[in-house]
Amino acid sequence: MILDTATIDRNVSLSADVCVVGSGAGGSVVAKELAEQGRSVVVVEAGGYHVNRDFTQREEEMYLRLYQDQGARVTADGTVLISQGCTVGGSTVTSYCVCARPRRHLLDRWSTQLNIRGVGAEEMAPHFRHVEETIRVRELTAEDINRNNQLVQAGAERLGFHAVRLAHNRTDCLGCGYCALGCAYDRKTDALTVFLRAASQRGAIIIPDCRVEAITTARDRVAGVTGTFTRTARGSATLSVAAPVVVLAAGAVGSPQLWLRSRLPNSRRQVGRNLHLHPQVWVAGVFAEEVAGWRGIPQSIAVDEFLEIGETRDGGFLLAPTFAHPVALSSMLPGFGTDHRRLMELYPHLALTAVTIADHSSGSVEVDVNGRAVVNYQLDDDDRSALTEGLRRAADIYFAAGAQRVILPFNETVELTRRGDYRAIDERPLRPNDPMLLSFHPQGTLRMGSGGGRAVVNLVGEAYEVPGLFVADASVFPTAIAVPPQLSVMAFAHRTAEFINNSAARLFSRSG
Amino acid sequence: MRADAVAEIQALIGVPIDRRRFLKGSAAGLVLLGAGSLLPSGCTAYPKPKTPLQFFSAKEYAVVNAAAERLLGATGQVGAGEEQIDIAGRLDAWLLTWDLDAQQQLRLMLRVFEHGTSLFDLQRKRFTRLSALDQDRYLDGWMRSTLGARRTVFRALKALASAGFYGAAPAWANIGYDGPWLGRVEATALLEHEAAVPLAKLGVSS
Repeated sequence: MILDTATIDRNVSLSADVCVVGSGAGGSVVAKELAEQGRSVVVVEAGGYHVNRDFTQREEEMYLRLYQDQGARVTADGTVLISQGCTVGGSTVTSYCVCARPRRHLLDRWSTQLNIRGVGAEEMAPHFRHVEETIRVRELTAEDINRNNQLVQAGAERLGFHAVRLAHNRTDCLGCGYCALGCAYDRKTDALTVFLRAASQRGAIIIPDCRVEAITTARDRVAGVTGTFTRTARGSATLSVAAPVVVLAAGAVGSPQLWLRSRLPNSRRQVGRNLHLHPQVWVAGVFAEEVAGWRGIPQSIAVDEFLEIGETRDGGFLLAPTFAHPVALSSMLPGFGTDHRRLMELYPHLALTAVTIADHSSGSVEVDVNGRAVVNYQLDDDDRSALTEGLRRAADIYFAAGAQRVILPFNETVELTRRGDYRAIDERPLRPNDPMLLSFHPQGTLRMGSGGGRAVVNLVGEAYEVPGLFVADASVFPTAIAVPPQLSVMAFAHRTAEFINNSAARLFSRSG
Repeated sequence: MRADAVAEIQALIGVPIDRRRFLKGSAAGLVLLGAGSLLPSGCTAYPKPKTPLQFFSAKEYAVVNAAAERLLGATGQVGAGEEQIDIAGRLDAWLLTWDLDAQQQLRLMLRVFEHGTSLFDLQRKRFTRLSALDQDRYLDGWMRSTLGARRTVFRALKALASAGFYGAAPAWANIGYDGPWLGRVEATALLEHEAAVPLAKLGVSS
C-alpha cells in the first residue's frame, strides 16, 4: 500500500524485515522481489506519489513535481546539470525507456580484471532476462522511429556508421513524445507501473514525501533509518523504520550523500569517490523539411560506432537522437536576443542528437556542513577529446542526412555550414559551462569490488563495513557502464535481492 | 554555504576564499555590491510589479523581466493586454519552492548582475537603466567571460527566462509548437492506479 502523507499528523514508527531507501530502478526491483518472497518491506521515497493523471505534459509543472531539485541539480561549479527523477518510481518515470544491456566485454572485464565474480555477461544474463520479461522489453519497430531519429539513422547509414534500433520498456505507445514529463497514458512499463505495483500488492508499504536523514546502526550492523516527512497534515513529523536489512537505492548522488550524512564507517575514504556522469552535449541540425522532433518516441536509435568497449579498455561516445520541449530547448540553444529567437522560430525544423561520453573522468560526492550533496566533476583530457570528436561525427551525420547547417552547443552561436569544415570546433577550447554538460546517468560512487582497495560494497552489494546494509543502484558500478543504465541497475538489483533472500538465516535471524 | 556558492562569489569578487574565510569574503563582496548600489544611478524606485509578489522584490522582478526581454528577444511583443507574458510574475511562486540556500544564491546573483555594470562594464548605470544596446553588450560580456562563474550566471538567467516565457502557452505559436496532447488529443490511460491510504489504515505505532 502507498501511504497518503497528507494524513500524517504524528511521528511514525515502523518495523520491517527490509527498508528500501529510494523507489527507482533499483529499489523497486528489490522491493518487489523480497515482498514476493514474503518479506515485510517498507520503501521510503523522497519524492511524491504521482501517477498518470498528475502528468500534465507541461514542463514548468513536471520539472517541479518529478525531478530532483526541480530539475536544477548541478555540480559544485555549475558546469554539469544532473537530471534525476525524484518521485515514486524515480528516474524510470521520466526516462526515455531505453533498455540496453552493457557490452559483453565490459561485464566480463569487471568479472575477470576487477575480480567481481558473478557479474560476467553469462552470469548476469538470467538477471537481465528476468527484468526484461517483467517490464516487457522489446525492440522498437520501424514505425516507432520518428523523423528526428530517422534523419540520424539515414545519415549514419550513408556514412557507414553502425546504428542500432533500441529496445524499450513501453507498451502500445501513442507517440505523444512527453516521456520525460511522465507518461500520461501509462504506456511505460516502469518501476511505478510494474515493480512497485507488484510490491504493494504483496504487502510492501511505500512511503512517499519522506527524506531519509540517517541510516542507523546498532552493535556494528545496520538497524534501520530515520527520516522527516516533507508533506504532512499539520506541522513536522518524523519516520523511523527498524529493519535488520536496509537497501540503499537513492541514486549515485543520494546514496553516498546519505552514507556520509549518517557518518557510517568509511575507513577506506572511498564513499562518494569514482563518480561517473556519462556527460552529454547536444548538436542540432537545421533541415528544410519539418522534423517536429517533439512528436513521437524521442530516442529510438543510437549510433554506437564510436563506443569503444574492448577487452582491455573502454571509452568513446554514443550518438543518440534526443529532443526537448520549448523551455529546455530555449535554455540550451546558444546566443541570446534576436539570434536566439530566430533559432527558436526554427523549432519545427531542428533535429537534435546527444553526444554521450563513456567517461573516464572521475568526480566525487561530498556533503557540506548541512548534509547537502556537493558534487564535484571535471572532464579529463581524454573525455574532452572524445567530446570534440563526438561533435564532429554528429555534424558529419547531419550533413550526410541533408542538414542546411549544424548548430553547436556553445554559449554563443557557433554554426557549421559544410561537412569537413570544422575549424569552429578545432579552434574553440572547451571551458567550464561553455558548453554546458548534461548528465542523466550518475554512477559509481559506492563501487562494488572484491575486498581490498577501493571497493565499498562486496560482490553482491553488501557494505563491507556495515553488515546488513546493501546498495542497489548505479552507485555500485566500478566503471562507467557506457549505455543507459536503467536496465543494468534493475538486473544488478535483482541479483542483490536474490542474495538477500538466500541469506535469510543470517540477515533476518533477529526478526524471525 | 555550499561550495558552488563559495566558488561563484569567489570568482565574482576576485577574492580567494575558503569555507572558514567565507564570511569575510562574502562581506567583501557585499561591500562591493553595496557600494555599487549607492552610486547616484543606483537604487532609486523600481516600477511597481504587475501582480502581487511572493518571492521577488520589486527590484528583482524588474531585473528578471529586463534580462529576459534582452535574452529571449522581444518577449514583450508576444501576446497583447492580458495575454502578455509576465515572465518574472510566472516564476515568482515557483521560486518559493526552491530550498532557502538556492533562493539566497538567486537573490545574490540578481543583485550582482544588476549592479555589476560598474564592476564589469565600467557603466555608471545599473543594468535595468541601461539602453537596450548597452544591456546587450553587458549580457554579451557575461556570456563570453573568461570567468566561469559569470558564464554560469548567464546560463542561469537564460534558463530562468526560458522557464518563465516558453512555459507560457501564448509563446508557443511563434515557434510552431502545438502544445500538450492532453485536452486536445483523445487517448486513454491503461491502468487504474492504487489510491494512497491514510495513516490510520496502516495500523502503526506512533
